[in-house]
Amino acid sequence: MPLQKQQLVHFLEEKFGLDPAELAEDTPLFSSQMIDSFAMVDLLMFIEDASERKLSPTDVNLDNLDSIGRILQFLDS
Amino acid sequence: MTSDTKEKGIVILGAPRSGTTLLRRLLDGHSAIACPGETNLLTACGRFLKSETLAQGLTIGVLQGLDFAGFSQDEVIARLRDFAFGFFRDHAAQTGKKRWAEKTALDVFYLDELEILCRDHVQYVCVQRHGLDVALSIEDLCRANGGYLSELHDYVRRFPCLLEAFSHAWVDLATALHEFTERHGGNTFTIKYEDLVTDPESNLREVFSFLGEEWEDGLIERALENKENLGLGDWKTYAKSKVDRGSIDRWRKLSQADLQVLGPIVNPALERCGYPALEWESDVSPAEARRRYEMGLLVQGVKDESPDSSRKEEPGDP
Repeated sequence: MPLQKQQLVHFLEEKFGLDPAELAEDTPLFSSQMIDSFAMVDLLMFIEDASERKLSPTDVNLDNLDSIGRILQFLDS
Repeated sequence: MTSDTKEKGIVILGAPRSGTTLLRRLLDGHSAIACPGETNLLTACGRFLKSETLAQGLTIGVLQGLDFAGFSQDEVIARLRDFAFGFFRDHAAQTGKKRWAEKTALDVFYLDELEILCRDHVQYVCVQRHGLDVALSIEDLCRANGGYLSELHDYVRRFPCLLEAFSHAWVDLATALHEFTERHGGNTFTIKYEDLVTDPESNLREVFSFLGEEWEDGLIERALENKENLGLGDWKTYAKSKVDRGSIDRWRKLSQADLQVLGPIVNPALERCGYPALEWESDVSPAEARRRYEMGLLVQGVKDESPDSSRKEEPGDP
């Protein structure tokens, strides 16, 4: 089952205390410093676990992973 | 409020990076209390009084040495107390205030020595903060300073992982402080940093009640707007003109692998100090640890893409 938006939002809220109201699909997460590099590692681990997909080194970039929308689009591709 | 209380000095105690400088600024905002930036006076007294016991049982130190020369330990301590307290009294007089207060972050490393120096001549306000937030903040401080305070050298030598070293330091300091408050009962008041920044007025009212001082309206705003009372100490607080909760629960961003290592170190002291024990999901497998390491490397590459170059030197990079 593909990773759902609600799962991502729930993870960001529970793990990092982010306010879901401030999390639009295009809200930059890492480049805006909303989450730091520790949190980014946690997020990548979560994405791999929840999507059952192993990220390759070329997958890990801002284009694919810097917002909820980009993550979902990337996983859908 | 008794005349006895009014004559006493006030000593703020807490592990470095526990919010003691914030409390210092707030106490100094009271019209009756003068609390300068870190004087290091009591820390210096602690070092002066430090002794060591040799294997044969002989204790070597200034008290023991002067005792041989005919000066009783009580006399030496009384002279040292007058010396140190004299500066505090004079500073309070210079600022037109009735009472002195002192805060230096390293005092807590010398609790045994300060106990015999200050005894019940002062009131103690003790600050506790979550151990891992303290450890993370000390790590920030050391990175910013490019080195370690001498009181931390032993921890850094014994534990090559900095967060582990500073967690052990916090455990020792918080435990010693907790036991100190148990020994001194009614002469101490303990406040949690998290409570102070969540509800400053209610908690400060309790502090001032313990000190026998009246609450003063507008004290918090006045204290934090005062930019003239500069001194040594935590530089972060000088950037703040209001109390905020921004530094609470930083530890929640730590990985499960970190919590697995640090939890067993800090949990007993956390619980003793009134914090919930840390929990972690499960043991991190070697495969997961390796994958986290790989992810950490890949995130470094993402940081290079980031338009904000300041990200490239983020404290505590994984």
